Amino acid sequence: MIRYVLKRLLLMIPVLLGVAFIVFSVMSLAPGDPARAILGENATQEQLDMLNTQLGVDQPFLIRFGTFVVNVVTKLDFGLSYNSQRPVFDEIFTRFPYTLRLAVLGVIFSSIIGISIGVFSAIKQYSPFDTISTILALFFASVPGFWFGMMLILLFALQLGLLPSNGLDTVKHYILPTLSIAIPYSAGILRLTRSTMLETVRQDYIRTAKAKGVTEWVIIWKHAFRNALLPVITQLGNVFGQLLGGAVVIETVFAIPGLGSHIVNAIRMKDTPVVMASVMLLAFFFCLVILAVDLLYAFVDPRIKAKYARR
Amino acid sequence: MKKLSLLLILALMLSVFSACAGNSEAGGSTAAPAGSESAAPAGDNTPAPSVSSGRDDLIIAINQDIKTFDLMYGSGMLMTQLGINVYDSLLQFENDGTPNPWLAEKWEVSDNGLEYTFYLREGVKFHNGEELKASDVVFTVERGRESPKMSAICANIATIEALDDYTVKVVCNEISSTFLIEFCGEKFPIYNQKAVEEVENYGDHPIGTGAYKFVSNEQGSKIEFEAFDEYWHGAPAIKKLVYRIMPDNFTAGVALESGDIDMIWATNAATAATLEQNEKLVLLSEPSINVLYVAMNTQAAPFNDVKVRQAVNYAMDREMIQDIVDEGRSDIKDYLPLDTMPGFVEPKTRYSYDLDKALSLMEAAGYSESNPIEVTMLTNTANQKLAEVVQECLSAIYIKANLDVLETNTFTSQVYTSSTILSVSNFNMIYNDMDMINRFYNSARIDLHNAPRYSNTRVDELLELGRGELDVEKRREYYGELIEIVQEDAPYAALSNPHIIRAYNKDLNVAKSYTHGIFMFDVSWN
Repeated sequence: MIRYVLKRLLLMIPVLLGVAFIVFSVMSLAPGDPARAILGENATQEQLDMLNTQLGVDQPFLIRFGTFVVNVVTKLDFGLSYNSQRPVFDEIFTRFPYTLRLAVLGVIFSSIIGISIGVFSAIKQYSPFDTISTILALFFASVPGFWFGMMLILLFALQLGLLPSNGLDTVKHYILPTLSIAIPYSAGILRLTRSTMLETVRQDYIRTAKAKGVTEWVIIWKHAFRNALLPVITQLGNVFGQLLGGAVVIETVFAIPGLGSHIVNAIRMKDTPVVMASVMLLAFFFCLVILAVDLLYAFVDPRIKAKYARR
Repeated sequence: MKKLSLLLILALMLSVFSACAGNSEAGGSTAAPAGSESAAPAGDNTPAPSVSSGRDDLIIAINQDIKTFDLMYGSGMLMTQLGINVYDSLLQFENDGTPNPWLAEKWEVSDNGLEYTFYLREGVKFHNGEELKASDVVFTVERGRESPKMSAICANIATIEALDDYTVKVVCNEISSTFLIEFCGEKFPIYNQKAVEEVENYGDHPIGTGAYKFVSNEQGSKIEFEAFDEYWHGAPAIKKLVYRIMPDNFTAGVALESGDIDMIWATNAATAATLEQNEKLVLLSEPSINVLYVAMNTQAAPFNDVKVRQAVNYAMDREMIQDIVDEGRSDIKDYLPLDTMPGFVEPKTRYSYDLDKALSLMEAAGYSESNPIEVTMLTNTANQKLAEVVQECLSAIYIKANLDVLETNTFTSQVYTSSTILSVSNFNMIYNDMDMINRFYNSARIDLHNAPRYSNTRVDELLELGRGELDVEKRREYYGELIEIVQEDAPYAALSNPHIIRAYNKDLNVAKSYTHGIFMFDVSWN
């Protein structure tokens, strides 16, 4: 098992290098002049050329990429942001915690809501509870996150004045952004949980268990649910990945200084160091999440665990 | 075993989570340098309810981060707004361009107009406790010569020397009617030599003589200032100034309505329409210094024909632009300079929407429905909507403009090159003087700022004369002649002057709003 984890961790190196190469190529191919972005409209051509030389932008692509990799590997140095002239690493790490916290909260709450309601819908198939939750799930899965966020703000912050509408200063500040992430995502998880549960409860071994006289509670949670959980875990991993990089809209609506909006701005400004560092960080975390998902399979499903043991 | 592992995973998740929580509080902000830490407010700021009286703090929404507080190295209106809290300049300007004494109590100009002597106010303190000396002014100019933003301004300063601790003498290379504006406007903040030399990362820890001391900058989140009690003009009424970064207009609007914040620095027309309904707020919609325009390359077909350029000017439905692009909150413009600029003369040649005239001009130039023009029209993302309306207007006069929307930086590096035939963009007239139009029309600015590559020797001459003339009437004469020529030649089609829309709590007293922003010293609670 430990050997497997180590192997997977080692495999992350070529994956991250590949990501770095692709993003670096795309950023170099995009038009635009970093010196112009730094110095502004009034700079003369000489000033621009001088700065571009200083930044090494005039070097051939492979040399630039090589320098980047060497700096990152040996010194963990991603350079200075073109835009703000501040160290990229500091900029990202003041923002990343917000994004990570929101993503973790989003995954926790969407799984709690999605899985619990999904399981009950499946057990009580065609009941009013099932119908209502399916319809609501369809609604929330189709609603854009930012609209839902705005509606929550209008209701809870403006009309009722119960919750703050922006920022992440206190626990109260987390409620609205977490809900506007968790509820739309939980809709997807609910639908998935429901359908896999329905599939599982029709299996022969469930019937056998029922015939043996096992209580319904044990059948559902011990026998059916654990088998139904595998695809749901995969989905949760994906959700987590999406939230790391893709909560831009929610971050904007709630004025949260997260990483997502920072990347979008950096891309717009052609701020290669920031884009590189952020994408690398997200790729790294995403690799970890995928690894964690694979390991979770083992805990949920003994058959998979047995496979690891053999390796 | 299984349960134990699950517990472990849960514990791990929780620890990651709490570690992050700790992280952001400890390392999330760039703290102020020693010396200004005395009153640095600690802890979170739970938004105070908007029960107005008795408050001495102010929370203002701005829409983006500030790159640097070293004003010589940054750009943008927002930075200027925040900068005038921290820094002072020698003179302060009224909106009409008249200079008032500020850090300089008085000044003298020599008879030949080349030598300026400034007498500094005594006892003015910088935030680090240093006293303002003439050497700081000299240092500021010398430092400015190195910076891309100030070097052009400083180029006209031949020598600057400190006659004594409170007297500075500046000798110019040539007479300039805009000298006071360029050198002393809020764009020329006075730096403290010691602070710049001693403080590491000066751009993140600015020191000036202004009404507010910089406290901290939490990127993407908020920027804090506190009142400088030793401010030479008296201690400001607002003691704590917080700028919250809210990129979304809707969010800022709701925050203002629910009392989380007290002021929005600039909002858009859609949000303004909602805020206008709220009786607890004041909405301020006033002309900005931003001008939207079309630029036509006068050196390449088809716009090397003056008839085509004039036709474009007649074809612009400026009222439609006002309605659609600015949602009614703008002033229509058919010439570039602002009416408030000293030296401004209203042109006699004017362009209003007249499709018949435009069509007959196009036909006279040899174009028709069967012989249309097809060109690429460059614009940046900020002006995309405007460009689409312009495209619509052009299609009515046989011009098929293919829109090429670029990111701002890419746009800036392409729009002044010879390959650009047609472009739609905007410009902030940062100097409130007719000399500002030099960048638009001077042939020396081709490849730099003169997008239409417009070249007219008489215009170049008049621009030089206007700048070198101190007599107000003479200047008006020069600029009066100039504006008729450029209106006739029509290298640009000016479109509109959008308003800047601010909104704030009605319990706030905002004494005055300058074109460049609000001077926070003048703001107080009822």
